[in-house]
Amino acid sequence: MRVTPQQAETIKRLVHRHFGEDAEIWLYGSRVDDDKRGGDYDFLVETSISDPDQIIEQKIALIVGLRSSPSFADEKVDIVVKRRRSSFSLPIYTVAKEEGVRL
Amino acid sequence: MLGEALSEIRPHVPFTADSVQHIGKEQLRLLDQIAFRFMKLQDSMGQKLLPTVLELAQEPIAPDATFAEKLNWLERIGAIASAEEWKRLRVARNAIAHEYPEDPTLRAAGINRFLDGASRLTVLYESVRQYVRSHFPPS
Repeated sequence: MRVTPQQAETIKRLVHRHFGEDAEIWLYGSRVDDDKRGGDYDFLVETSISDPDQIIEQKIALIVGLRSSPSFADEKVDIVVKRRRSSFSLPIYTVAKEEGVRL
Repeated sequence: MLGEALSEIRPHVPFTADSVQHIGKEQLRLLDQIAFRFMKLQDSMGQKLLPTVLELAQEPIAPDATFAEKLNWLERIGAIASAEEWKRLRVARNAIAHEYPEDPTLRAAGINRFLDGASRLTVLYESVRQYVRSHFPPS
């Protein structure tokens, strides 16, 4: 996994602040693989928040927080949000959970 | 310019998970136009209007101050209401407009938030201009 301890701490702190203490985070994509180089940071966030407007608002605040943090700054970060209480599902949710790393 | 495009899309706002799946070519064209004008206005404010305000206010800011520091100064002198809001507008314009093609619920919410951001930017632009007019009237 190519995420520093500071980065892991930062993303967890910000996700819990904006998506709730019970939010779960997975790192997936190329950053999972120690043998690769570079690449975006891809995270899946699963939240109990159901209101889509609130999810969008919190995602914006989270991204602002990441950009303001020394550990992420200008890094390209992609965040997919899964609603725990919804039956809506996308293949990426399964991919991220099965192939990714739970932070 | 931005205001006109926003007026044109207004009949379709707010988008819903349903309506976003039937979004027409004309609406997509409008959304692209709004995204472009949103970007141009915010970039222009960041590069010209806001630095001008700081210059006129003669705030003792270091020449190598970061933009984040400049935003904090602008908030402190009341030229903008919130540095945080400026940063959120940037994210709203960049990260949201074309995200979530497969998730209609979030896609609709994202587009609505993006349009709300564009609208807020036009209000912010006017309020900064008003700040300049009232604090630095031509003598």
